[in-house]
Amino acid sequence: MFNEAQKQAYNNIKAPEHLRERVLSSALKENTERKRFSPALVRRVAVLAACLVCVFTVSFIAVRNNADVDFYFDGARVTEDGVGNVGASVNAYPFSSRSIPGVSVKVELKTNKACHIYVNGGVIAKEDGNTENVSSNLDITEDSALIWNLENPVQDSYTLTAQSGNKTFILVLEYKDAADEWVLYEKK
Amino acid sequence: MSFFDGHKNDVGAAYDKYADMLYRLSMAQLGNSSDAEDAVHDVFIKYMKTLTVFRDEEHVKSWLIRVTCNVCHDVQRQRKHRNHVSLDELSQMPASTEGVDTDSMGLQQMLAQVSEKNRAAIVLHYLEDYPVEKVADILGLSLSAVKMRLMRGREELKQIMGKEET
Repeated sequence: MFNEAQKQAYNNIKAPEHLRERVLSSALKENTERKRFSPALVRRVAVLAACLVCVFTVSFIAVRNNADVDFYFDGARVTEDGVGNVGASVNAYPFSSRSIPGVSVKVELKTNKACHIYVNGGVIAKEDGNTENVSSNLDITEDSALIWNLENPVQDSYTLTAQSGNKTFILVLEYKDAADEWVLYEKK
Repeated sequence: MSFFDGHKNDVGAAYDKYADMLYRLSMAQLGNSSDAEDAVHDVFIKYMKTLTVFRDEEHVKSWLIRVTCNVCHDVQRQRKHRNHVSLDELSQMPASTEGVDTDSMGLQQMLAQVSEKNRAAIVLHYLEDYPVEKVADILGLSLSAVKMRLMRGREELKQIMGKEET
């Protein structure tokens, strides 16, 4: 098909010298890029990112659903250990003078979420709220000072329940015969 | 001397062994040293990136030739879309054919007139001396398809040679 001269001429064609340099420098560059963004590395980063997203999502849901509700009496958080002689230190100003023979307890509620509060005895109101509409339950949306008033208490203990999200906090006001005082504690 | 590792593709060693052959092949198919350089460059970058596990050196060689043919085919297709060659490009063509003597220029002019479809088979069989079976393997065609392309390519060349003689 082709004569020897043509075949020889074809075989004499050589790649230009500068092409080698060009190919090798491109290969080096590609190799560096590939190492920097290797599929294995990208896969690892993707898995890590997915894990972080899961952790953040679970944390977010947990935080959102686990409302933080705490009660404070005279600046100290009310715990299972309880706070004694609470009936003596109240200031029952939102309530009428008829309540004086009873027990009035002022507590501060700290919450990061709206909560519903109800008591099984007496009435409850916000310290700075409307004293005419006091009742046995109350909806709170922010940190508030609350007055829990019991007129002529006949039971030895009463409870105040705060429900927020999936958390329920029960505060117990109990009369201790031995010490002749009302104590306040958290019921777990 | 064998450069074949089987695991990592040593571009430098493969280039030293096959660059001239691939460049010739590209020149024969594209007829332009600039495009041929780009084609060879792209082929070796593809070689570096490929995840193909090569059996032996012969496998590497076949792969490189097949990819070169594909890359040249892509360039030709892009040219068709571009559908024109600038005057500057035309005037620079002879000057850019580094390492090409007048005989090979004549050969390239002849090959340029052979249809693209038949050109690769003609070059591989008559200039690179590959048997028809190997050409079929490289181009991914059946034996009869390669034979048909060779026959048509020969007819085209005969007509071209006849024209040049007259």
